[in-house]
Amino acid sequence: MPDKFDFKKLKDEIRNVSLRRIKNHTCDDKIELEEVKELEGSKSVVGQWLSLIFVASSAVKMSFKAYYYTSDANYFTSKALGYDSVDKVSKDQVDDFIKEFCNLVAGAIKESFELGGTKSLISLPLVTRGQDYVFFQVKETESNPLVLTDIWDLTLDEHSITCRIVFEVWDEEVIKKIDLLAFGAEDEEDGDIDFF
Amino acid sequence: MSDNGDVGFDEATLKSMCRDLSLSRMKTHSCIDDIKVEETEDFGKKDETGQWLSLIFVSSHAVKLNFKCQFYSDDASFFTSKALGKDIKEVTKQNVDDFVKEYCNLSAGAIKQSLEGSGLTSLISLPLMTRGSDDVFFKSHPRKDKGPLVYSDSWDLVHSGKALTCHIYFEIYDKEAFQKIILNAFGADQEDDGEIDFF
Repeated sequence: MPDKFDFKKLKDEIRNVSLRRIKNHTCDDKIELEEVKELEGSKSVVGQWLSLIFVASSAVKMSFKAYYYTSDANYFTSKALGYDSVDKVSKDQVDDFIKEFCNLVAGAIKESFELGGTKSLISLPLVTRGQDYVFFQVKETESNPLVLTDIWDLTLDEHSITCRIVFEVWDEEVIKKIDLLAFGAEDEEDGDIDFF
Repeated sequence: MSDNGDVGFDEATLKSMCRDLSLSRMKTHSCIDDIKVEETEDFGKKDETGQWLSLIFVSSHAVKLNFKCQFYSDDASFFTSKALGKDIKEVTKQNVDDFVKEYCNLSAGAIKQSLEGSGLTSLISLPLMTRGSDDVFFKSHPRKDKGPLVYSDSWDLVHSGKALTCHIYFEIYDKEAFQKIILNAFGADQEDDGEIDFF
C-alpha cells in the first residue's frame, strides 16, 4: 500500500472515466476535456441547472455534480437521441440524459470502491437549480475529513457541461486501497489501466 | 434532542415551535383540521424501503438546517386527495410529489422568515424528492471532534391512521447569533401576549 495517496492519479482517472462515459452516452467521440476555473468565478450560476449524485461508505463520501445551461445540455441530448435539431429536445429528456450521465460516472466510482473491498451506497441522481450548489458545498480541509475536489469541463462544439467531484475522506487507508486496486494492480497484470 | 450537552438555548421551545409550525402548515395545505402530532420512532429506523423523501435546505452563516418529510405513497396520496378535493384513486404520483414538496417549502420558508426576522440573511433551496433510503446521504458523518452544535427532532403528522414523518436538523455554527434568533423568534412574542407566535 502506498504511503502517500496519489490524488492526481485519482483525479486523472475520474476525469477520463467521465469523458469515456459522456462519449458513449452522447454517441459522439469529439467531446473534449478542458480545464475550468472555479465555477462561481467564471460562470453565472443563475440560469444554470445542477445534477448531483452521492456515493457513501463508512470511510469516504463522494459527490459528483454536473452543472449546465439548458442550451448546452440540449445539444448533448439531441446528439444522444439522434435528433437533427435541439428544438425537438424536451426538458424531461435533458434531465434524464444528465441524471443518467451522473449515474454512469458515480456508478463507476462506486465500483472502484467495491474493488477496494469497501461496500458503498449510491443515491438516485437529483436535478435542481444551479445556485443551490451552496447547500452541498464542502469546505476543503486537510484532515478529519480530508476533502479533495476537482472541476473540469466536457466540451462538444463549444457546448459545455461542467463536472465537479468532491471526496470527503474519513479513513485515508481506505482510499489508498482504492487507488492501488483500481489502477495499480490491473496495470501490472496486462500493461493497460482498466479503471472499471 | 441535541447531540451536545450544553446547547445554550431552550430546546423544548424550539421543538414545540417547529412541530407547531409544521402542523399548522399541513392543516392549511391539506385542508384537514384535525391532524395530530405524534411521537415517531427514530427517524430512519422505520422501514425505508418503499418510502419517499422530500427535503429542503435553509442556510445562513450562523445556522444550517434541513427539513425532511418521509412518507409512503398511500399515506401521502390520502393527504393530497384531501388537498385537491379528489378521490384518492385520481391522485397521480406527480400530484403527490408536488403536494409534499410544496409542504416542505411552506415549512422551511416559515423558518427562513423567522431567521430573517432576527436580522439574519439566509438562503433556501428548492425542495427535492428522492427515495426514502437516500436519507443516509443527507446526514452528517459522525465526528470524533466536537464539530458544530447539532439539534434534531422527528415527529409524525397523523390523520385517520395515515402518517407523514417530519424531521428537522439544525447545525449551529454561531451559538450567540442562534440564541438571539431563538429569543427574537420565540421569547419576545411569548412575553408579549402569553402565546407563542412563531412567525
